[in-house]
Amino acid sequence: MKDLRKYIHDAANEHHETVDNDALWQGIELKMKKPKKKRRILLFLFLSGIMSLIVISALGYYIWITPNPSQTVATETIPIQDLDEVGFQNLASQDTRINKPANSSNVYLNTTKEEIYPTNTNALIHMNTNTKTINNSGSTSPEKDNVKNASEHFFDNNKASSTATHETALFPFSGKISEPKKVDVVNQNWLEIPTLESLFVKEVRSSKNNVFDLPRVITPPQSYPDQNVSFLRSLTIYGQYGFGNKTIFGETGNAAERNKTEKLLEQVRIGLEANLIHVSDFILYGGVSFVSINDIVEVEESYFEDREITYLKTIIQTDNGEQYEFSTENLPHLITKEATRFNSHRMLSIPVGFGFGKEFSGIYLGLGFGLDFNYSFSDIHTIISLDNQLIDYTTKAQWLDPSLHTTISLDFPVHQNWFIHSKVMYRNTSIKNEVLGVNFEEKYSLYGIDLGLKLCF
Amino acid sequence: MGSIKNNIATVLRYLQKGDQDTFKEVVYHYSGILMTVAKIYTRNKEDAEDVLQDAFISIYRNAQNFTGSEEKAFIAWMKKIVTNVALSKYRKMHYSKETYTLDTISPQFEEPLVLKQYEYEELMNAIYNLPLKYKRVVGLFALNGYSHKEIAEMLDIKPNTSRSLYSRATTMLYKALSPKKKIVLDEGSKKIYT
Repeated sequence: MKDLRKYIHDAANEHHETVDNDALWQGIELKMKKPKKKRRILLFLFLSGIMSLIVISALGYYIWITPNPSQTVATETIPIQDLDEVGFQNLASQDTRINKPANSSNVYLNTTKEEIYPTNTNALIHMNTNTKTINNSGSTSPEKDNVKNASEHFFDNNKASSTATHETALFPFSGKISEPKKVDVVNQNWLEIPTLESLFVKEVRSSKNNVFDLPRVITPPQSYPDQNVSFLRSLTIYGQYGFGNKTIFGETGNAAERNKTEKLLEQVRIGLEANLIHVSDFILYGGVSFVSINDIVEVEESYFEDREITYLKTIIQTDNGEQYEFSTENLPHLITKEATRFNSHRMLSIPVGFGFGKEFSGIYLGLGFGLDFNYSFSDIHTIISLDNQLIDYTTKAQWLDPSLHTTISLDFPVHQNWFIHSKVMYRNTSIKNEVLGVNFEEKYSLYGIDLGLKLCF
Repeated sequence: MGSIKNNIATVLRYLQKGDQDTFKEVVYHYSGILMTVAKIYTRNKEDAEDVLQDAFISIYRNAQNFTGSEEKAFIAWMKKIVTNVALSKYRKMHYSKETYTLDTISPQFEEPLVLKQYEYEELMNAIYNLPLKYKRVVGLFALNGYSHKEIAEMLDIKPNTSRSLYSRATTMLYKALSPKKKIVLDEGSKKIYT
């Protein structure tokens, strides 16, 4: 008699079904294309989000940071035609702005230095096309001589010109003097600036509508202590040690077995974080970090396994000649397994979130809440398989689902703008992988302690 | 067909590098034998084809995890993937949809079968026609060689339930096959079971 189990085994191994291979292959090709599409959409959404953030930041910078000249600048005007050239140059070296109304023969000089906000940006450079330069005769002159020529032209003729060259020198915030930049400007409302050894921003402007309309000037936050919105207020470098727990979801039996054998060992993180936008006491922060989530796999189990096909056959013949056959299959074997392995999920993490911060006796207390965008690198992991064997499999390099985090931070002042940064955080992370056709999800609940150094600007 | 068998090491190397043509060749070559496994663990042919497609994709993406070099081991590995994919598909299976119940099947069979007299195809068809919950246990126990303890963990049932399902499945197979052929153990031998 042949055992049914073995017979089925042999039958299934020998038997080949008829398959429409072309249709099968078409289905496979179709399915293989789908995930890529999904990934592209996710990537598109992610990049769109980043771009939106940049655009909003830029708009915010433009709208909120740029001061309203009418509110911040007091202007005193002096008829410049009463000055001689030396007097004018003395004033021009102190001040930087000369306005001339188009409908007036007088040129006015603004004498308030507060108008010039030191900056290391190019915001004062006004670009234009259709460049022409002027000299006394009105013909085109080399750009090198523009300033001088225009200065002479200004004092000689004292009349508005339809085209002019405009030079702007930048005064960096750091106190260093940048190289003057010449920018050709052609605009009916702009006049030539006669700069001397320019250390200050100089521009001449004529406007039919508003003689004192000042050019847009970018102001650093320090110039306005009461300014509500500021950008890039701090940069923090930190290290984090984390602990917590791990749960595996997936195919019922194997997930249970993996939960018995796998535990979270630790989480290590190093990274950079910046306070990107500061609105009053609220902060939008972001950063980048490298994360390693380390697991330990411990298998130590003794159990009886009757998977081996073993036959014990006994034939008993009774007195009346009848035979009885007893067969036993799958005699149990005692199996003992003992092994320790370590697995690591290595990730690049981009945390983004918003927070609230307040100072108490020189110590800054902050609360934060946000998302992590994690990219997990490929790695080889050892896990227990469906048939209780330790197997190695390769984890996918992939973008993970965004994870949530909450933080409480304390910053202690050390020296000037430097702070000791400490933080406790909670973070949940989910990593999905497929092992031999079975989908598993590893969910981590992580508690971390940060220690770092923070530089405030 | 033959070329793959003779060059399995090369095929595996190319497959592990992600070569699409090799993958297609593997699909065409092994679809028949893997469909046999898929049909054991699914309700119908359409589901089996769906499972087979998913399984082949998984084979392609996990090819670098296969460390063997023999075709026999490769086939066993692929069968395991097909099994896992199929089990995942029906993880939340509702048994109420099945038309058979344990009560309607008699656990007794009257006559032993000499199965070697059957064709494999008939036996496989009989297995395919079993209700899913029975043929899954038959497949895991007889084909994949899992113990009832392992099957119980995989299907989230009790080990005794697994044993019972297998026993009933065996009975159903005997019943399905018996009318077709009159079974005699051996010519001239005595009846063993009464």
